[in-house]
Parts: sequence; C-alpha cells; structure tokens
Amino acid sequence: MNEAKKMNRMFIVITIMTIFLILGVFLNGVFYSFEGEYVQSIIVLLFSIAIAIIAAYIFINEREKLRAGFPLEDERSKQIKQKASAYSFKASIYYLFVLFWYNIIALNIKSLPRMDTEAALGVSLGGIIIIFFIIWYILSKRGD
Amino acid sequence: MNDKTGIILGLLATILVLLTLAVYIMNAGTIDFTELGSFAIVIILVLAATYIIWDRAKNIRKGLPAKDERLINISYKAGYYGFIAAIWSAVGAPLLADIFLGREELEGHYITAIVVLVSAIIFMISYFYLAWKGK
Repeated sequence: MNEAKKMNRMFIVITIMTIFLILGVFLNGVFYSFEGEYVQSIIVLLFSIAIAIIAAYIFINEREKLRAGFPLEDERSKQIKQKASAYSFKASIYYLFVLFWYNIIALNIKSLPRMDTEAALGVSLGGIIIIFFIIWYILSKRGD
Repeated sequence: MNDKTGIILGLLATILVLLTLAVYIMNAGTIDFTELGSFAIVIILVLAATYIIWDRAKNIRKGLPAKDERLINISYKAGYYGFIAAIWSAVGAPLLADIFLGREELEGHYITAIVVLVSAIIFMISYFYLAWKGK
C-alpha cells in the first residue's frame, strides 16, 4: 500500500472514531437531561459541541493537506505537537491544582456542588484537552 | 517566558504540592500504608523538582541561560510524555483505584491528585532518563 493510501485510511479511521466520541458525549448530555440534571446536561452538551467544532476545524485543515498531496504529519507539525503538549502539561498541573482545591473547599461549603468521580473525570480531561488545543492553535498560527 | 519567571512558577508549583499534601494529611484522619507510599513518592518528586530549580537558579547567578538548547529539547520531550500520562491516568484512575485500593467511588480531588502524581512521576523519570542518555 502506498503512503497516500495509508494516510487516507488512517484519516478515515480517526474521523470515524471522533464522530463516535462526539456522539457518545452528546448522548450522555441528553441522558442527563432525561434524569433532570440540567446543569450537568448543559455542561456535557457544550463540551460535545466544543469537541465537534475543534474536530471539524482539524478535519477541514487535514483534508486540504491530503488533497494537496502533503503528509498528515511532517517534521514541523511533530515539533509543534511536542511543544504544545509540554506547555499543556505545565498548564494542566496548575489547572488540576485549582480543581483539587475547589473540591476541598466544596467539601466544607455545602452550597457548592461537589465533584464526584464522573464529574472530576470529565472536567479534568475536558480541561486538559481544551488547554492543549488552545496552545496548539496558537503555536500553529505563530509558526513556531 | 523568561528564566526568572520560570523559576518562580516552578517554586510556586512546589509550594502548592507541599500545601496540598499538608491539607490531605489533615483531612485524612488515619493514614494507612498505601497512603504512606504515596507521600514518599510526593516527597521524592518535590526533591527532584527542587534540584532542577536549584540547578537553573545556579546557572542564572553565573550569568548563563537557565537552560541550554539540549535541556530545552529534553524538557519538551519529557513534557510530551507527562501530558500523555496525564490523559491516560485520568482515564485509568477510577479503574486503578478500584483494583488496588478497592474503592469504587473516588472523590473528585483524589482523581486530580492521581493525575498530577502520575504525570509528574512520568515527567521526572523521562527528564532524568533523557538527560542521562544525552538525547
């Protein structure tokens, strides 16, 4: 199989996986609203919309690259991904500390909503991914 | 970001880790053997971070840049591994807690603590390994 065909196949697999992920998160948000948990439902639905927008932006960009005959990942995009991950790692540590302290405070102040396992997972992962995409977008546009 | 800001942020993170550990100990009441192991890991991480910060501060005092090109590349690579570890540890934390600690439900702050701990361990190990291998 030549390189272009391999890239195309990989691209299709990643696209299908992303569509399933977005659908899964979206349906989770809909189920929350059926259970009457409207705040969680809105947060999850907004999160699924954010992932869909980011995925659509990447999809259009990468599709254009493939059509023009460029590889999906060149040396520059590898460097940017590595740099963005390193910055996101540092930013995520501070973000996670904020979440940790928020939950400790929420344990003592009853009016604040506490994070259980699912909420902590969603907020931590969602936050880390959003931080990564913001940094990745800035670095890509800046041309570092 | 200039070198001094980097060192101040590093110190801030170290102080936050120590404060978090102190709050955790005060909230925990009784501390079991597994938790003692986690504290030891945190202390080792704090010591390693302090060494890195001290090394950079020493370079600045000599009028040298805090990090040379090689160290910058190493910290990007180690940061990349730390980031991947953060994502996977967030996904696997509830599962690991259930297997090793027998806890089906974890409070939100335990999840964030596990993610910080695991990603920091991976970052430190990769940083020192890459520095030692000279990559």
